[in-house]
Amino acid sequence: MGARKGQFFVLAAVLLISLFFMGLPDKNNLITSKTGDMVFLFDNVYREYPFALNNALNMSDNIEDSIDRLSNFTRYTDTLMSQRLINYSTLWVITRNSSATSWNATVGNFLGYDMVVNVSLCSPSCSKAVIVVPNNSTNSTTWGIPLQTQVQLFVEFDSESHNVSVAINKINLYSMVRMQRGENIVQDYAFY
Amino acid sequence: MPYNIKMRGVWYILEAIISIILILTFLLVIRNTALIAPQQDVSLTGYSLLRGLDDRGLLRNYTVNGDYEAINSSIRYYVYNHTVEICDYSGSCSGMKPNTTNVYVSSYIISGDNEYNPYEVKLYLY
Repeated sequence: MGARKGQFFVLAAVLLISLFFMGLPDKNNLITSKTGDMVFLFDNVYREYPFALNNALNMSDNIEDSIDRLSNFTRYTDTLMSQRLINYSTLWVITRNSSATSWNATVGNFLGYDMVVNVSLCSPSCSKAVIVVPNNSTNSTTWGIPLQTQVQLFVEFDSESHNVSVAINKINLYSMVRMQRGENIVQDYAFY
Repeated sequence: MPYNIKMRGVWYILEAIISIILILTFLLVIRNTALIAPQQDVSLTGYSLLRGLDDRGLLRNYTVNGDYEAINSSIRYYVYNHTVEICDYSGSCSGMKPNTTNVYVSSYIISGDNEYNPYEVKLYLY
């Protein structure tokens, strides 16, 4: 009889321990909620992309060199974010007129998986380029379209779809930046 | 020794072990909570200070010239002591890293100043 009573105590203790461990995920939020640094790092990186492109463009007339430098900056940022346990991913698109009647778009895909990106120009009739970009690389395409001074640029990939009115006589940058640590995700995009 | 008495002893031992586990986990939780709760994220203040310098047009020039002392002396913050370290693309750093405990670190990435030349600026508050 005494042994049986002991069994009930053990059973109750096991139940108590189980309840405690079931409640542990809530406690972990105390640590993961401290993601304020990620928001600030995101702000820093997000704002730095146009500077990185401008700095790269200042160094060479060859746009390919500038694209290599922007890829380099992306990988550098990825390394620094990894040190802070942040999963960093980005996709950027550089567009420019390569002649009076043709347009060039270069996509940098650093999202962690291969991507198909649709880049469309409306000036005023629309013309679309479908660019397949393997992960951690860039791909470029040029297509002919009669250009007005102001064109509407559309960038579409995954479930993202963004557009902006751009001037054709400048190099345009679209960047989407995403940072994730645990369940916390910060993401935004911008045209420059 | 009768079987019942022997088994009772086994149960007592098992109960004692479970009790110890319960008490230890409870103490562990209390200890961790006490560590986490009062923390103030000073590193966010550090980030704001570095961004403030960048907005004032000072940070990039000082950084690419490796002038960590100029960055440090431009920071007007008197709650904590502070030092600055500048790390280049390869991870090689120049500057002063405090040799003490309870140090808050804030980072700021720059891609260069007119030319592409990426650096990480670290501000230590202690």
